[in-house]
Amino acid sequence: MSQLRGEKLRIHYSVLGRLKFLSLLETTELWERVMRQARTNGIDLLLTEGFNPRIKMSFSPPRSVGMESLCEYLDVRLDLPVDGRLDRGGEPTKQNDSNTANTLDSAISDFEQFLNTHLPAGFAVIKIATDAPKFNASAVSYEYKLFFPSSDLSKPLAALKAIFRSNEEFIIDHKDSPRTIRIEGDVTLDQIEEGKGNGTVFIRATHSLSAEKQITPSLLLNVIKTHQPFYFEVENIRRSGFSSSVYDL
Amino acid sequence: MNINKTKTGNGAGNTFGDTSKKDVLKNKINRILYKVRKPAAYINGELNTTLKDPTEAQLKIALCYPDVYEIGQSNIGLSILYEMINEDPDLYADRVYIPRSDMQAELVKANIPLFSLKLMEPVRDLDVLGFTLQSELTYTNLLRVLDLSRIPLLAQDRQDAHPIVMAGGPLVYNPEPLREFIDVFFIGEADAVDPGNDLIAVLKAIRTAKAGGAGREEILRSLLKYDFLYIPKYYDTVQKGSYFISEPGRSNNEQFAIPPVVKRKILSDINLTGRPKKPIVPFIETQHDRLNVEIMRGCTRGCRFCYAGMIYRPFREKDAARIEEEIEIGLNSTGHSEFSLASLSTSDYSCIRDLSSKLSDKYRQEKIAMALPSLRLDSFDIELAQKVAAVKRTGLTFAPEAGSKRMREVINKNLDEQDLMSTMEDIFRTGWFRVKLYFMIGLPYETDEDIDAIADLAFKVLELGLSLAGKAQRNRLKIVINVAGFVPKPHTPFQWVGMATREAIQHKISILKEHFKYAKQIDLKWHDPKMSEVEGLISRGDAISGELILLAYEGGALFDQWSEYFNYDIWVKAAQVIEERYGTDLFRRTYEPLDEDSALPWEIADPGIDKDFLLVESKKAFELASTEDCRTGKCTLCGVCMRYKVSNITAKDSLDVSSTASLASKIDAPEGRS
Repeated sequence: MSQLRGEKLRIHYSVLGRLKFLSLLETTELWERVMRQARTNGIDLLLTEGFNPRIKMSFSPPRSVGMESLCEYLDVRLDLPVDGRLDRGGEPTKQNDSNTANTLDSAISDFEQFLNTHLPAGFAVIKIATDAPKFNASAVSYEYKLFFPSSDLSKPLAALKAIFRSNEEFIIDHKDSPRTIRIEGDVTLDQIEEGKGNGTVFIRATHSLSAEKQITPSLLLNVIKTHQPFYFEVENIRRSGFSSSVYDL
Repeated sequence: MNINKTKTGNGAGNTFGDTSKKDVLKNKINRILYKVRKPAAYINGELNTTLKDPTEAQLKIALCYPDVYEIGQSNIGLSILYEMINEDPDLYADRVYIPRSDMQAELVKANIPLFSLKLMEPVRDLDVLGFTLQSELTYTNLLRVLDLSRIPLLAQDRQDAHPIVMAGGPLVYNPEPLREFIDVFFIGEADAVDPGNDLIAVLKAIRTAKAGGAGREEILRSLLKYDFLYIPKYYDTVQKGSYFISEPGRSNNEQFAIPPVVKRKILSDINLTGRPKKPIVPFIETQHDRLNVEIMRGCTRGCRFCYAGMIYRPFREKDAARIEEEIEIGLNSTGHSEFSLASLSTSDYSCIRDLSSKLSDKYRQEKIAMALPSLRLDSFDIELAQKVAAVKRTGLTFAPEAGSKRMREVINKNLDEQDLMSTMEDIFRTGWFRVKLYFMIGLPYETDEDIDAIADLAFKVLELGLSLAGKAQRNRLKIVINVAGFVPKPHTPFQWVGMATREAIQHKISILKEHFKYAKQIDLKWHDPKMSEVEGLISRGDAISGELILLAYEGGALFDQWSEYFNYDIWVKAAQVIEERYGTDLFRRTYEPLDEDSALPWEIADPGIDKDFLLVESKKAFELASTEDCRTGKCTLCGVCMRYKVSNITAKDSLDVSSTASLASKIDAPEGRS
């Protein structure tokens, strides 16, 4: 099994519900704990070197606190157990090289099952993939949905459409200095529409992670807050899609 | 006595009974979570939280540690109760903590009552609210929790629909300062297993009474049959000397038997609980981010200042095999990378060498570190130091408590300076170059020479460290000297002594500061004497101390344990009002020695220690006479074993039994070997 040592696994997972309030650090710690549990349950995961070894993990670009997501990614490296199964008790099954692929598949499927039964409700593993290339931040863009609650949906719908269709440039406060953002080109507002049956209006916006196009959902919210004719709060923000020029998961 | 009534909240009423209203509340909570720091403290869902669905028939209990989540979630006692209650199908335990200031402001602004974490229902709509009392300085927080929940602060103002407010925990042996705010005190160890006569039985009795349509009065009356519950409602307060004392109310006593002294519930053998099996793993960083496994309860060393040493008697060790099993289960279910063997004095555990060596060997490979939190200088050695250092050098703290031999004799901390220095040598030789030493100042019969002795000791340790450290390590060497003002505690031999004044404590601190002025490698830290003073006002307090807490709370006192929030002036003003009302200067009452014959308010609760034993110990302190540890010497006649028919249990005694019995079967057999 030595060729499986260090096999990189990319875990695609979602964060929904109240657990959206976990920060990056808290999310990392949660994964550390769950992976350590996996480790004591027979899934050999590589540790970092050093005085206080931790599970070797790398994460896709972080999500803001309070944001749901359908597209979070995390890489771990696997050391498969001898028999390729999670449960190391009982009789080990003998494997030969031709069974390597099956062993990996079954180990991954067991791993996925383990994670989904041990992760808290709100975190769910969607898929575990092998052979994933490195994350290249400049080539990654995310799609967001912003949900606004309202008892009368027509008003926020009209207001949002008015804001984004009549202007191309907005001056907004950004930390220390006011800055101008151009909506056209920077942000793709391909949809402002009514959510089906859930009493919300949502905007779908795409934002690239490249340095010159830092249009995050919080900036968008800032635009809305400054320009909307009446006050309504965002109820939820969700990372709903992911795209990369390098690969597609 | 006559407390000013303070009405708070909107009164009773199950306003969130139907689902749509619950959803409205959840959405409101969701919206304010965007606005606060650390929202993850309010969202539940951590690893190992209960997954069971609440039903209408269950009795719902909110367990509350009256401090913020980061402090409260680490408490091992509440974790045990959370698991224990949730194992019963008729009961449902949820958690609640006091929110941080920003969350409190948002709750008030959005008109949301304080909610329990999992159910997200207002605490006031649950059946029982149970507090753990761990520090006197969290008592104003307790009032804030009631206030935010919109539950009337005074027990007498509560109506049928309000939860029964209970309290337990280590400080419950002086329930008097909280008597007006709490409906029912649980005196003793709430994890005691005694079918039909323990916490679970009490909760089930409340459930049955509620199901039968009983009102508040009927429920409380039905609880009088439990001799370990103190229900202040049935007691009157009478002024005797400078104290108000609770006595069974005459009008009530004719109708039902009301115990003049409330007994303590004791878990006879800590092998019987085995909890928490699956402790909750917090999302956010908490005080103790590790697996805590209790290895023994109680300490019979007999230090005369020590409250825990008195109220947790007898000495009960857990079987080594059991501890190993609990650590394995705990690590598997939490993913922690460090575990701690928790107790009052871990190095006193009879098989500590074998146990730590076995655990250290077992977990070294997996890079899981072991911590031994409470160590005694005379039972710690190089072998133990090496085991602790195997994976990670977790912090080492020792408590010589006093600098001079004479003072150590006064407090019965029979520790030789030679023992201390040889332990320090072991520690330095094992590679630790940061050692924390904890001392108390303001002890009875203390003089300035005794304070000088603390400094002498610190310098000796420093010199030893320098002589053993290599060139590179010399600069890293650090001796941390932690001092705190002594607060006399109830049910201890020092319960009659006057507390040292704030000025006296400050003077002693200034002596130490002067000594360490040029010692760069000695780090002097001290506990705020003003905080110790307020702690002193409450710890040996009575019902009017409760009124002081209420006045301070109304004056804005909150988070008194936190130096950045603690406001001494509020407490001084509140004490002035008390003096105007009752003619009692609470500060003076705390500073002056008490008459040994006078009735004491905390004698309403009986931890099992004989007053005669305390008096003898108090005289021995004056005579510098030592008292042996009853584990190794003869019985000291403290009274606990005789009164409660319990005995010291050492792991060696119990190993024969444990080797055959499994964890599950022992939990099922609560009679055990006692």
